[in-house]
Amino acid sequence: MINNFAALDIHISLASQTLFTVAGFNVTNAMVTGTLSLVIFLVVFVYVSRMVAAGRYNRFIGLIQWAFEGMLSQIDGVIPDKVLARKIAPLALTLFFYVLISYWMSILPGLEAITYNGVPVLRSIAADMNFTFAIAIIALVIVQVYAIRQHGPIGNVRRYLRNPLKDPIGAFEGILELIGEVSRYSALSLRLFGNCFAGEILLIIITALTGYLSVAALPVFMAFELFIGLVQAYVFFILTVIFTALAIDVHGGTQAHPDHTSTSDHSSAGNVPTSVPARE
Amino acid sequence: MDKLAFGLTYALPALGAALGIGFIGAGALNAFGRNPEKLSDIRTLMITAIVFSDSLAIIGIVVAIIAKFI
Repeated sequence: MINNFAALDIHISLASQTLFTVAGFNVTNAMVTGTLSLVIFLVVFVYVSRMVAAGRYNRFIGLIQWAFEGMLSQIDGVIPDKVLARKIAPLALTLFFYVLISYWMSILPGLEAITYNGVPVLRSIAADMNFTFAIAIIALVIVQVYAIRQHGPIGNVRRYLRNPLKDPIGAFEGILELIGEVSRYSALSLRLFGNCFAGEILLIIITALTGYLSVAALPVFMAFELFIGLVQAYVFFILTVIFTALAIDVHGGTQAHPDHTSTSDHSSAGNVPTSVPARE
Repeated sequence: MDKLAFGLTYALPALGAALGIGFIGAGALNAFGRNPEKLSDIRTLMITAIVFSDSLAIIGIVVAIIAKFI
């Protein structure tokens, strides 16, 4: 019925469509938009870090610094152990800013209209389930790595498999933890995918329904999408931090590991400004 | 009947999510009333809880779209 009003035919495809192939590898429209958002992300943060290192500030740098410090204080709120908070911060902040920029690319005008060989070109990479599953799996592996560093490999397995004879309720809890691992990370990825995909479909349908009036109606929904993107990026970030805190801090108190020579993992993807004060 | 199924696949999870978020909000407001100093902590916990409840409704819309268009 919508096609009666529509100025355009609505084609909704769950998987992102292939634009062209390079040596047998399908390059999809989500990959193209994702590369664009990666370029924007790198340009913004290399610029901010160079300017902060040189000591020259302006309003834009102040804005990025404010967002960065706000998120950093959120991490400190969730994880009381300062060493661990400093270690999880680069991954969590990179995820936050990259998911934010990718989600916000879904608002660019021309969502279904700009086509190449009949395939729409603009599609946010957060609306591609490959990307959301990939970052959820990265979060899963990182949390397990930190748990193994904290408890040792046997201790980590013992979080899930507890002796049913000595501790029957604990054994049941362990099974639930195992199921919880799978469900938490699936929900993490599906939440981001569902929100971004549904947002794009919403914009397409509003355009189709309002026709020429979409000039007035669409900006409202685009503002709504900006807000939802902010919330979803924040939620992904804070849930990653919370899952790390839960995996490390089991049955009473974090213990700072004195044995570990703290190899400061500088992940090169998060070229963060040197404005983080020494908190130790 | 198909159209009814499509509508209900989202409407029922949305009903559950709306009630759940209402309860979470009420709990958060009560907690704030008892302890007005801890506003930012309560806000963070409330948003975390709301997101858990909201994500089930979002998965509902994804299932509805998949079932209808694919």
